[in-house]
Amino acid sequence: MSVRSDTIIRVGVPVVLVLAWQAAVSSGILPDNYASSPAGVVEALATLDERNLLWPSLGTSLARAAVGFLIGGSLGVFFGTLVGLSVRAETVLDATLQAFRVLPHFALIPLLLIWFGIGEQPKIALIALASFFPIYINLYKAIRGIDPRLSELAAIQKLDRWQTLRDITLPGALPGLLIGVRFALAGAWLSLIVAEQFNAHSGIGFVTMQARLFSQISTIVACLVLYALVGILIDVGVRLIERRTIAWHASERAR
Amino acid sequence: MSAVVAFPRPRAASDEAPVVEVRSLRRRFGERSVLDGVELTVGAGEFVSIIGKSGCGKSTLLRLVGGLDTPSEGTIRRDPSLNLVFQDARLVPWRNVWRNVTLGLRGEPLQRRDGARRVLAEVGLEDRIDDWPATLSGGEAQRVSFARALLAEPRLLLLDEPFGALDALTRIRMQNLIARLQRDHGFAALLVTHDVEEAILLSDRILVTRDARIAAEHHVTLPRPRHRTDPSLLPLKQALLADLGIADA
Repeated sequence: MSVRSDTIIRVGVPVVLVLAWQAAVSSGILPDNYASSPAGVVEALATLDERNLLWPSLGTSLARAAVGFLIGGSLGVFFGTLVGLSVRAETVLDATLQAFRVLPHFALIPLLLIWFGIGEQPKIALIALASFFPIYINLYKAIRGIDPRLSELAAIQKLDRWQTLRDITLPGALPGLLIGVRFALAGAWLSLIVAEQFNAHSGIGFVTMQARLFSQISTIVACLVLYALVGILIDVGVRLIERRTIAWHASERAR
Repeated sequence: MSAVVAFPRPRAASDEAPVVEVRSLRRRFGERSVLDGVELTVGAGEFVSIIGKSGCGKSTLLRLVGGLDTPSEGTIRRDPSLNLVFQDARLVPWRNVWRNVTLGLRGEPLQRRDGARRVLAEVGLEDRIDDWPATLSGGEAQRVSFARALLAEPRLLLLDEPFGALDALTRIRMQNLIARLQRDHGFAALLVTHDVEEAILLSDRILVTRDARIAAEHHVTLPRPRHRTDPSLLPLKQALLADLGIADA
């Protein structure tokens, strides 16, 4: 099958589904107050914008996700590098960190609420937790996975520690790190949605809760659409960064 | 007679100190001695080849001289300017050609790139200076690794079967290239190979390893440049094959 007809099918399937959804609601097969409709969703988005809720809520939610991701991600980079480079650090830290990893982090919500109250902190802590592990594990494994023959080369070329880190270790671990970043961003976004279900006073989650109180199906679905769109945009963004920063990787695979 | 007869001066003869001196070298892996009582001296500018069957410890010897392995017993003195060319070109995939060539070199990027251009021109790859390693053929990648090894003008070049992974025609071209580079730069070379012809074409002296030690030594006095079709290579070829335990009618 040609690339072009592939693309048509890829785009066509969701378009057909949305049209079928609209048709089902318009013809009365699907009750409007159960599933809204594409037109209803667009209307709800317009109403949110009129009430000056759309962009501020999106901004608040994105800011939460960004702060949580930056905190969790930085810690992930720090510990991933440390444990990747040092066998001693691995001995001390890895088993403990792995033990925490198997614990579903949503299980910590009650604890986070007691520790941090019901403000922004527990939300950000949850997002940070979700961002930490994918980056930690992927970076640590990527550093360990670098071809050991390259360290012989480093010895022959008399690279010092810093040069080895800069020319061999870190660039070699970059593809692994970026895979971690993609998982971490997906995790951060998921955790944001969960975190905004408890006691939010702003953000998309808050809008959703409000809409639920008043049974505004269209608004709820509109918020789901927003969550999905942002999720897709983030993924596309990371792929673009990947393509830019690891040009060598693409040529390696094309071999 | 003095040691001069046992280890005659190389053709680039000088009073310079030897670039490699290995004494009573032993390397054990578990119970097994891969090298047992190896003595080796390489003079400045001398081209020495080590041949032997696979698993005879010749690569281990080279790695020990290169400092990539530690002897179980004995001493190794080596010229600190040494560089090593591996069998695989061992280019860093995420650095382009000139950054691979200048790996470990300090200085301004522009100066480093100029240095890379100079040695790349010597191996005929000046036009690939900005390319990614993955886009090079096997022979080209190995030429880049030669350029990298030569950049800092080492007095000693260790060659670990550097043509072993290349096709026959490319190998011939590479052998001619290394002969020319050695003539131009005058470095001493220690080449590990299992190609008898290659050893004869390039070397001043050929050592045969067997049973964890150096079992035979041949001086190659044939004039250079040597040609692989030259019938005067044959007696030495037969002698070496006999040393390797291969009866050749």
